[in-house]
Amino acid sequence: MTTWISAFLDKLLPPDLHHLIGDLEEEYQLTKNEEGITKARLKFWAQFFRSLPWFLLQSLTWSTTMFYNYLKVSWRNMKKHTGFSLINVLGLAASLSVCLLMILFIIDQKSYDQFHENSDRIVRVTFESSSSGEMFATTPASLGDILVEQYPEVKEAVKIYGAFYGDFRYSEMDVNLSGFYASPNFLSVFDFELLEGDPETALNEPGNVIITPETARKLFGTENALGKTFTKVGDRDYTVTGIIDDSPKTHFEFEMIGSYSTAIADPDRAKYFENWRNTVWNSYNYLLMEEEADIPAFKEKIQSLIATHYKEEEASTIESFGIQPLTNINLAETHYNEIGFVIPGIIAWFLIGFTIVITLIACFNYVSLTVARALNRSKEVGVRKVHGAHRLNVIKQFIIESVMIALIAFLFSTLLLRWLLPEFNSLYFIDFMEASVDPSLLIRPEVIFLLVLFSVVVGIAAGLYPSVYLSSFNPAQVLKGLSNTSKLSGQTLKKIITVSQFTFSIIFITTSIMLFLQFRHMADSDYGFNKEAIVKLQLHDIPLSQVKNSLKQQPDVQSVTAVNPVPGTGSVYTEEVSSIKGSEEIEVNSFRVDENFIPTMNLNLLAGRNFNPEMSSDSTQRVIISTVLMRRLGFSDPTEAVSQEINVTNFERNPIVAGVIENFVAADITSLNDPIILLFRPDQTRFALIKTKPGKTISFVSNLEDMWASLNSAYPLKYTLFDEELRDNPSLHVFIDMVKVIGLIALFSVFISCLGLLGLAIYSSENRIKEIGIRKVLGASVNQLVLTLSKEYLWMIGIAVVISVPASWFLNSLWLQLISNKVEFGISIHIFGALLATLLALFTISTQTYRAAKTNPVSNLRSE
Amino acid sequence: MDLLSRMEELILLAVWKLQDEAYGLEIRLHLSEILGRELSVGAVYVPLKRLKKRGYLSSWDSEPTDERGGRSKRFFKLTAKGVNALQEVHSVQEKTWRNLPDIGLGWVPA
Repeated sequence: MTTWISAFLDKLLPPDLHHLIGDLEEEYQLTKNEEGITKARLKFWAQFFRSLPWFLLQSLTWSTTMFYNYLKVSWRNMKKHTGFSLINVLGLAASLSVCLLMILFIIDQKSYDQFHENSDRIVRVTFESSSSGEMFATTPASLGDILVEQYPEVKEAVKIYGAFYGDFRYSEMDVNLSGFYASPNFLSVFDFELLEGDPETALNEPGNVIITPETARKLFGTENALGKTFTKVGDRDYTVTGIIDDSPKTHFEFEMIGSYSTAIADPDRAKYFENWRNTVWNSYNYLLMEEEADIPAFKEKIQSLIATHYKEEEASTIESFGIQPLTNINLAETHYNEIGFVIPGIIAWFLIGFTIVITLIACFNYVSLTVARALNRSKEVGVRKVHGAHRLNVIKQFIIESVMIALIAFLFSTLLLRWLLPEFNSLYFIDFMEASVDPSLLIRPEVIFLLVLFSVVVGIAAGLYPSVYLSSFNPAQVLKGLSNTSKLSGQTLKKIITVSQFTFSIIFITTSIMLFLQFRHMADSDYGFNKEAIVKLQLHDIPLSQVKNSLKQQPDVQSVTAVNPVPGTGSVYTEEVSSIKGSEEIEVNSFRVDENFIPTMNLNLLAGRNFNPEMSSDSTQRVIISTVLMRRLGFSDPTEAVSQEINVTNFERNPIVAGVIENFVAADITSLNDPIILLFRPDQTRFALIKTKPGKTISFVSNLEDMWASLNSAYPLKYTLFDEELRDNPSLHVFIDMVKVIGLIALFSVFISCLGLLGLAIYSSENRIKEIGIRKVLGASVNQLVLTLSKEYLWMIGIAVVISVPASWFLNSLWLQLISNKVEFGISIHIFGALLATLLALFTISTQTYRAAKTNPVSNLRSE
Repeated sequence: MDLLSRMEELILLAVWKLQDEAYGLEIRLHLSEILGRELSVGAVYVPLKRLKKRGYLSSWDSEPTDERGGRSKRFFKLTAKGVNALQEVHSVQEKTWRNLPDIGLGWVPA
C-alpha cells in the first residue's frame, strides 16, 4: 500500500479508526505475498472506492464532533478568564469598528451610479491633454453625435454642456444656482426619476429646465413648481418641465438641468459648438454602448478622430481619448473638469492601507496576549496530543477559537459603530464632500455578509501565529510541568513592538492636545481688527462712490470702508516686497483699501499717517505696512520706517511708507503674523465693510434690500454679517475634524498599547511566580516586589518617551510652521503627553504586578 | 431486550470463533469466507463499533507492528452481555425453527 494513500487515510479518518488502516495494510501485504502485487493493488483499490462514502461520512461526523468540542472548550476558557477575554474582545472590537467604518465608506462610495439599469454599459469619453498629459473628464461637444453615427457599437450618446450657472430670479427674489445642460436622452439613458413632469419631453425644447425639489423650494417656496417660469438674470426665461429626484448616489452634481437645445438655440452658438477647441473643456459625452460592444477595441478605433478634426497646422489639444466606465468615475483616477465632486481613488487606497495597518495592530495584540497566556493552555494541548491529536488539529482548534472571538468582537464593534458612524458623518470635510456614509448600509445582507467575512479573516489572521505556537508544544514536556521551557522565551520582538506602540501613543496624545490647544487659541484669538457690528456687502457692478452715497443716507451706518480682499475670509492677494538695499523678496498679503479702512476696522496706526484721498500721489507712491513686514524689511521701530522707500511689485516707482500699523489676521485665523501691505486703490475694491451704530446692525440689514433695489444693480444683493462669517471659517472646522480624528486615534493607540503591555505583564508575572514566592519568603515586601516586577516595563516606557518626545516635537513643528498665529508650545506639553502615557501604562501593569506580589508564597512553592 | 441483527450475530459468532485472533481483518476475512463474497470495510466496522458501544464486545489495542504500517491491531472479545445476547438469539431461533409443518417442498428441519 502506497504511503501517500495511507497518510491520506490517516488524516481523513478519526483516530478511533486507525486500526482499520492497519487492517487494510495487513491485507494488502498478505495478498501481495500470496497472489502478487497486482492482485493486492486491485483488491485494495476496490475496497477503497467501495468504502469511500463511508470513510467520508466518518470523517465528517468526526469533524463535527471535534468542532463542537473546540467551541465548547473555547467558550469554557473565555468564561473562566472573563476579564482577559473581555480585553481581547474589546481590543479587537475597537480596531474592527474603525476597519468596518472604512469598509462601509468605500462600499458607499463604490455604490455611486450603480442604480442605473444600464450602469455597466454606460461609459464616459475622456481625454488626455497634449500639453500637460493630465486626464480631463470633458470632450468636445460634437463628439457624441459623431460616435453614434460612425460606430455601430455606440447605441446612444448623452451630450452635456457644463456652463449653466448664475443668478435666477422668480418674483423679485434671486437665487444662485448651478447645473448643466443635457440632451433629452439624459432621462432615458440614466435612471433618474422625475417626481413630476414627463421624462419623454422634459428636456426637448429650448428653455426647458428640470429642477431638484430643493431648488423648487428655494425658488418657489411652497408653490407648485411645475410649469412655472423663472429668469436667468441678464439672460433668458426658463420653464420648469420636471422635478427630478436627486437622492440616488451619483457623481453628477446639479441643482437644475437645462435642455441641451437651450445652449445651442442661437445659430452662432450652434456653430461655435461645432469647433472642438471651443467646447473641449466643458462638454461631456456619456455613451450607452451596445451589449456586446468591445470597449478596448472601440477605444483604439476612435483615436483616429483626433487627426481628422484638428487641421494639420494647428496643434491638437487632445493627445488621446480615454473611455471611463460610469461606475468607475468615483474612487478612480483623478480627471480634471469633473462634472461633480468625486473622491480620488488614491483616497480609497489610503483608507485600505490604513485599515490593513489597524487590522495588523489588532491582530498583533491578540497574538501577544494569547501567546502570553500559553502556559494556561499548554497542558490542554499536551492532553489533546497524547490522545492522538495531530498538530494540524490543534492549529484548527485555536484558529476556530480566535475566529469565535473575532465574531464576538464583531458584535461589539457594530455597537461601537453606532456611535462612530454619526461622528464620522458629522466631520466637516465629510459633510463638505457630501460623502457621509448611509447608516442603512448596515442592514443590507450583502454588506453584513462582507463585514462578517472580514471579521472571520481577521480572526484567522490573528489566530494563525498563536495556533502554530501553541501546537508546537511537546506533550511530554508540558505535562511534566516544566513551565520554563525554552519555547516560552523570545520576548524581545514583543518588547520592541510594545515600545513602538507606546512611542506612537505618546506622539498621538501630544499631537491631539496640541491641535486642541491650537484650535482653542485660534477660536479665541484676537483678529487684530474690529469685526463686531460690521456688514460685508459685495459691490458687484455698482461704483463704490454710489454705494457710499446711498449708505451715508442710512441712519444706522457709522462708517463705510471698501476693500479687496476682505481680511480673515481666506482670500489672498500677494505682492513681492523687498527693501531697497536689495534684500530678499518677501511674499506679502496685500489689501486694496480706501481711506476709511484703518478707522473703520479700528486698526492701530503706530506711526506716520493714513491714506488721504486729497493727496493724488497716495495711490501711486504710498503704502502702509504692518509691523511684521516692517521688521522683516529691517526697520527696528515704526518711526524709523515711515517715509522710507521700499520695493513693491506693480509700482512704477518705488513707493514710500506712509504709515505703520499693528499686524492683523490677513488670510484667515491660522495666520496672525503674516506680513501685510495696504495699497490705496479705492477703484479696485470689491467689497464694502459697513460698520453700524452699536446695536443697529439688525435694523440696518432690514433696510438693505430696499437700498440695493434703488441702486438698480443687475446682480442680487449679497451680504453677510462679518463676525458670523469669520466664526464659520473652514480652517476652524478642519481643526475640529483633526482634533476629533487624531484624538480618536490617540485613544485607540493608547488602549491598544496598554493591551500589549498587559499581555507582557501577565506573561512575566506568571512566569516569575516562583521567584516572587521565594523573594517573599526571604522577606521582600509587597512594595519592593511591585517595583522589581515593574522595572523592565519602566525601562520600556522610558525608551518610548525618549524616542517619542523629539519625534512628536519634529512632526508637530511640520504643521505648526504653516501657521503663524500659533500657541507657543513649551516642553511641558510633551512631558504631559509622556506622563499621561506612563501613568496609564503603570496602572495597566500594576494590576498584574500587585496581584502577583500579593499572592501567598505557600500556594506557589508548595507544588515544587 | 433488542434482538441482534443478522450481521451483528454473525460478527459476535466470528469473534467467539476466532478467540485470540479476533481483530478487524480476520473477522472480515472469516465472514467473507462464510458468506462467499467480499465484504466492504464499513459493513464490518460499523456493527463492530456499535456492538462495542452497546457493551457486547470489549476491545484492546495491540502493539503496532511493521507489516501493518506501524499501526496496532484492535482485538475484540465477547463480554458476558454479548454471550447473553447470542444465547437469546439462539433460543429464539430454536423456538422459531421447532415443529415446522411440511409445506410440500420436501424439506423439514431435523
